[in-house]
Amino acid sequence: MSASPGKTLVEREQILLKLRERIVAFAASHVQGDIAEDLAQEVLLLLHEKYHHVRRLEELVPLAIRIARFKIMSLRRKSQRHGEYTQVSVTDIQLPDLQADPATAVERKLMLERLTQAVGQLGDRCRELLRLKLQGKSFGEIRKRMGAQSINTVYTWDFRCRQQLLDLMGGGWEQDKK
Amino acid sequence: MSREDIQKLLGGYATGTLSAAERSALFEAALEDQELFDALAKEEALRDVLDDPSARQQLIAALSPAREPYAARFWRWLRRPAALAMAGGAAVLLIVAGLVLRQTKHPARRDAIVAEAVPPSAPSLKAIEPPAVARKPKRPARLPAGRPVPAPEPVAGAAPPPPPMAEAASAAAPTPPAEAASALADTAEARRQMFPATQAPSQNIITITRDGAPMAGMVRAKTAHSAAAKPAVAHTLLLKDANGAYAAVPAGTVFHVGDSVRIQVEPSDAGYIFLFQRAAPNTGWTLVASRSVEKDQRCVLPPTDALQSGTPVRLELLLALSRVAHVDVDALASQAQASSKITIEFR
Repeated sequence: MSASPGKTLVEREQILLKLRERIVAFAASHVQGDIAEDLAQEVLLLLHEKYHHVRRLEELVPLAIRIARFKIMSLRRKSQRHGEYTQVSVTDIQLPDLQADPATAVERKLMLERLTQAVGQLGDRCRELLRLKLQGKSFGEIRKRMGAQSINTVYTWDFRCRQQLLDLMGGGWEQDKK
Repeated sequence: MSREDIQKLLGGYATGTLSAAERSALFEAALEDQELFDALAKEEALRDVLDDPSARQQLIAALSPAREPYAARFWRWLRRPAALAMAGGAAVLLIVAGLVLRQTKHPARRDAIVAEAVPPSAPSLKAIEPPAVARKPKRPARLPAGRPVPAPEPVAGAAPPPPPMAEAASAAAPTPPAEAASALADTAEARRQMFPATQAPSQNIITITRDGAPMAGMVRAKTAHSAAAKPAVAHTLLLKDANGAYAAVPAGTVFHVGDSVRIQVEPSDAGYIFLFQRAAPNTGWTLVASRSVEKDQRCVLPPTDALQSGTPVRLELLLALSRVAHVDVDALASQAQASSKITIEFR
């Protein structure tokens, strides 16, 4: 049963409103407050203009997060290049092509190396769990493969393994750029 | 789902493990929870990396069970009880097979050469008597230079005697043994060819190693050699009467000049029997007669003639039993035992 277009539109607006709050708060922890506001606005603008066909929550949230992340990364690089934390004019804002630029590719490569090194230090259960996840298995399938009593057990295993992996990587997936 | 439960879904976000319901629950919760939203946003970096199939494969390869080195895997396999038992059994089989193959292919390589004979009358010896192959000496018998003795005539109708040991040795192994053992072998050769009158009933094997050192068996043989035993050849003196028939006479009988005397012998083993005589103690032995005999077979020597003397004389006779047809007379006579000697006197 599909929702009516009007209802979906209302839901999308509500989702975007909440998303804005979250993005501002998230960006504020990375950039200056006013820039965070602008950044959230740019994300919403992009979602409205380029991704207006995306309406479902399961798609909007990751998309907004991804756009916000790219914006923050772009701001950081620009600030580092110029050595200033000036507001970026609207004309300077480029639409993300979502393709990895050379700097991003290097960052990914470095992160992959750290990740590869870290997963080698995980325990057997965590290694197996992560391997099955990377193979595209769902938590339900993983539960059967690993013989867990319930899916909550798998959630708990995964949570602990993720925490262990984060610790092995220094507390975050990305290297601290500060 | 509680907030704590939803937080546990974070790990599935970057890897794309979440089902639609899980994703929906996670994102709805993230919209309401800034902390969860922030965590979700931080997961984006990982998700970005894992979106690349090659990076995902690299991680999968890193997470796959490490391939142990061959030696480590073999050692781990070997430590299992079943594998250990199999390996042990295989090792034992290999050793046994190697020994059997070695003995089958090189029977003549056995270091032992065998000397003296076994008195067949001693039943207790049969159990310890080595097999026939083991008793074959490895090289041709080395006899001291001396006069060869003609082959005795075989007994008509009698089964052929067993092959003499020295001949068997000649045919079996052309390889010479260690030279160091030759002297000892030469000394023992005549004794080996002959059945001595006194023989140790239980210590009759001389084993000589390749380096010439006699083994324990020889030591035992030497020490036991002095033990008294029954003579190898029993004999009875026969005197020809007026009717031309030979009748037994007691030992020590003094014969008259012109008497015809023969000796009835009964060997304790099959072989060749030799009768020597000499007129004076320090002179050489002269072969009077020889023939092949079977065990416990009575025969008369000389077979066709008789011992006679036209003048008074004291004759020393020597009976020797040998396993070989051709022996060195001097060696055979020098090894003769006192009990094999018979003295008859013609007056």
